[in-house]
Amino acid sequence: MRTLKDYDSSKPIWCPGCGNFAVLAGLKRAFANLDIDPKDLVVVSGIGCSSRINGFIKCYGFHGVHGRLLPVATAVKLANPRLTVIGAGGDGDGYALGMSHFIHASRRNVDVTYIVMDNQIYGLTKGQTSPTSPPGFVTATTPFGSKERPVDGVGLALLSGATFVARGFSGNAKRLTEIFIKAIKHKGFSFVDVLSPCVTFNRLNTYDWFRERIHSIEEDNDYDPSSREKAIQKLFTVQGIPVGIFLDERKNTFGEEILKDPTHVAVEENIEERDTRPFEKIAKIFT
Amino acid sequence: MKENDISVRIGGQAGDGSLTTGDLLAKALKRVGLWVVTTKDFPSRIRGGHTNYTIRAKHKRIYGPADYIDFLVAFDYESFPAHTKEITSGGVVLYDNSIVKEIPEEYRRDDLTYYGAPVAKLAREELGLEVIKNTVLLGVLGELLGIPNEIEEVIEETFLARKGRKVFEKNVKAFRLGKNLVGSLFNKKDDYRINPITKSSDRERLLLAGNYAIALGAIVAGCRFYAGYPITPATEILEFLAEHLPAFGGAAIQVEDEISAINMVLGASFAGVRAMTATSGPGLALMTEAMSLSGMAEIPAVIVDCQRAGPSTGLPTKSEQGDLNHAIFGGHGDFPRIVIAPGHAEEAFYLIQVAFNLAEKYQLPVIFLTEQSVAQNKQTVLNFEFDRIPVERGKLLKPGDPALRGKIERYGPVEDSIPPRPRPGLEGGLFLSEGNEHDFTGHPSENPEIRKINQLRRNSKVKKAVDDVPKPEYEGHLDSSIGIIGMGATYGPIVEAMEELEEKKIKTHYLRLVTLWPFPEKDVKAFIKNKKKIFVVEQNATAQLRQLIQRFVGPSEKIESITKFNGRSFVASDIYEKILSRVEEVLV
Repeated sequence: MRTLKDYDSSKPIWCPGCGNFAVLAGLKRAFANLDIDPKDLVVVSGIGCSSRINGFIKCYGFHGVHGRLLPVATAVKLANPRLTVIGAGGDGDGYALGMSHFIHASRRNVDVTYIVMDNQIYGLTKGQTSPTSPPGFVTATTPFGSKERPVDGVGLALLSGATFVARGFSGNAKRLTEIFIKAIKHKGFSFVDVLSPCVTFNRLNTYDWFRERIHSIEEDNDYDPSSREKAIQKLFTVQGIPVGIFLDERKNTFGEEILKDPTHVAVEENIEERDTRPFEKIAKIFT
Repeated sequence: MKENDISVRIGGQAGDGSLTTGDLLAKALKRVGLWVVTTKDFPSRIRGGHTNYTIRAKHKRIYGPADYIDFLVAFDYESFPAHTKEITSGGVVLYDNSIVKEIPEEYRRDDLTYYGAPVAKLAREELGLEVIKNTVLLGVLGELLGIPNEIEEVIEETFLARKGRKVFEKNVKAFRLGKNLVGSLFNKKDDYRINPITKSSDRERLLLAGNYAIALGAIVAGCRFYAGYPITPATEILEFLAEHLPAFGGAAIQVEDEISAINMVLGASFAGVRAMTATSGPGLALMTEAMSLSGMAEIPAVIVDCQRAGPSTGLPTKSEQGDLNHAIFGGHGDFPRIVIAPGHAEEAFYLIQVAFNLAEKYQLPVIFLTEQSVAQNKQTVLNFEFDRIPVERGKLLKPGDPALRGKIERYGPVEDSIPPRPRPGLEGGLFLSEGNEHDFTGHPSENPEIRKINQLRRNSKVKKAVDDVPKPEYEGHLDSSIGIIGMGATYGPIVEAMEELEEKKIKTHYLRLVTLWPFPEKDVKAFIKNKKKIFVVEQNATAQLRQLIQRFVGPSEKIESITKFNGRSFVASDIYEKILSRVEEVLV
């Protein structure tokens, strides 16, 4: 059985107290719990503080361009369905430039786990408003307060077709790990929005601020995450900030739908040695 | 008698069936052993408006349209003002006189033969289906050209297999109805005739547009992942691969935008699968950020740009060569890339396979620059040799590779500048594929020494590829003092212009750049050195190719541009006339 240490890589460079530490530890615990071999683990990230995460995990990492981690992760999984593919980035990366990819990855139900470390601020560029910042939020680029409404990633995922939708909180590492385990085990697009405070640039949305407001939907005894309709209802009726697993349903993944044989691993084909007969057959169309 | 050399233009309203008629005719002409080129001229709209389709066939190899029409087949009035001028003396007009009741006087010419056949009326009255009029007209045309049986064979194949017996029978009936009009309604008075010359090997020839050659070539090269966004004139590649890749265990998917497409290509390629995307200028612009990532993180990528006339949305259905600068110089930061351009559909099939080899061998983006005319016009090609281009995967590591047992430096400073490339799933190969500047394992690093080493190594790959990329192709006379330089789709018209010049005893020598980047400096300098005059032929307004050449050879009065940028492709006479007009001065 693997342990946390088996996934150690270079030392994180985040600010002390950053919510992302809990995400990193929770992910490593989840990998160990699921006994995932690092060679079969791919973590794809975008750009931002949180997107540095794959440098801190022993795995095959892909640190791409801003906002485009989901197309990369989608293709990695299709190219080699044997891999465990995690996408991880921030709220700016995922909900600004990455917004359309998020919706399309959700509706494709590609078998990838997507984690958004949501701190409601731009940290790497030192304190500008983010798509999840609350109205009135004063930052360097919104000196008179943000005039826009925040994006709700959970709501978007539910409406777009993601088959596993959850929200976690960096202040509750144990529960976060449990959510990650379920998300990774889930077949299909699993999305976890993690409330992950920035201790340097966001003085409003602190650990204490969240603790006062979050409401765990699991505490509502009758809640059953198998219905998308109920999940949406829940999201809009809970007082405060709902956290927990909203939806967990099994539907065909993108790979199962589009690959002729979803267990076929394209990367293992020896393309150097070709049987030319299938090509000749296609060429007949043009004779 | 004008035998086995014909240019037929079919004009009509969108929906008249000009394309179907033309395709059937083209296929039959290919089958009888002629070399065929088809040219679509259609507006960028969905329905309505005049469209035309030109089918040229000749007993010898051709690559582009002619600059004249022998046969005008007119379904509508608009065909007359649009095309009458281009008909060669002694040519023929075959028109639907149930639609065009009378040809306006100003478009009547004494030197042409006119045949009127009421095909719409006959289709409606005799067959109860007016839309089948195009097949009736094809019957007339087939009989006039002398290949009715050959066309009927193509009709059978096309309709019986794809549309079912009922549709097939209706079309055969329509075809024969048209065929029998010759001799009953009017007699053949023109000189044109097709005389089948088919040898058994000719049947193996293919008739296809460059987009299909590219798509098929990609499959042969082992491409198993394709992501793209529909855009004229590249969409056929996505459509074809969506149909055929699954059978090879791959997938071709339509994604949300070109940015997603290129990032998916990088993801699949990082995972170890050969991957490609195709687009046109607007899409290439969107892909540019990720092209830079491909160069930085050293992830192979094949990007096809089927160029259309820009800037911006430009002329979406027209051909141009205006993306050259973008393909070579577009992107932020210094990163290596290779840009190659096929001259015709047959070459595109092989060259796209070379593109995959180069991308993996040098671990960089390869931009495959083609044009709407090559991408979408059909042409006869020799049957493809499927094992001509071996698959070379460079330093992609395989399970059990000894390198995986030691310490792998994905971005290490190796002698040949190309480090080993593990892929996920391989034991011992873990690394971070990184767009930030990075150390030798891939972890972000701002160390100035490492930065310098990496920049030099990455960018040196282009220099190291110089002798490995496809060489320029030459035609004509080595000792001629008149040189022509071109790239891509101008190949056909240049070669024909050279033949016409030779008939006037003017010898020329032609260098076609297949690889545009790394620029084949030595070859081009050597070519220019012994010439008195160089004509750089290209289809854009700012002479991008000439400027590229002069970047290397310096300013020179020897070099002159022949450009065309009115949204229409070059024809031989554009080049022939320009060179002829300058030849006296040049040769003095």
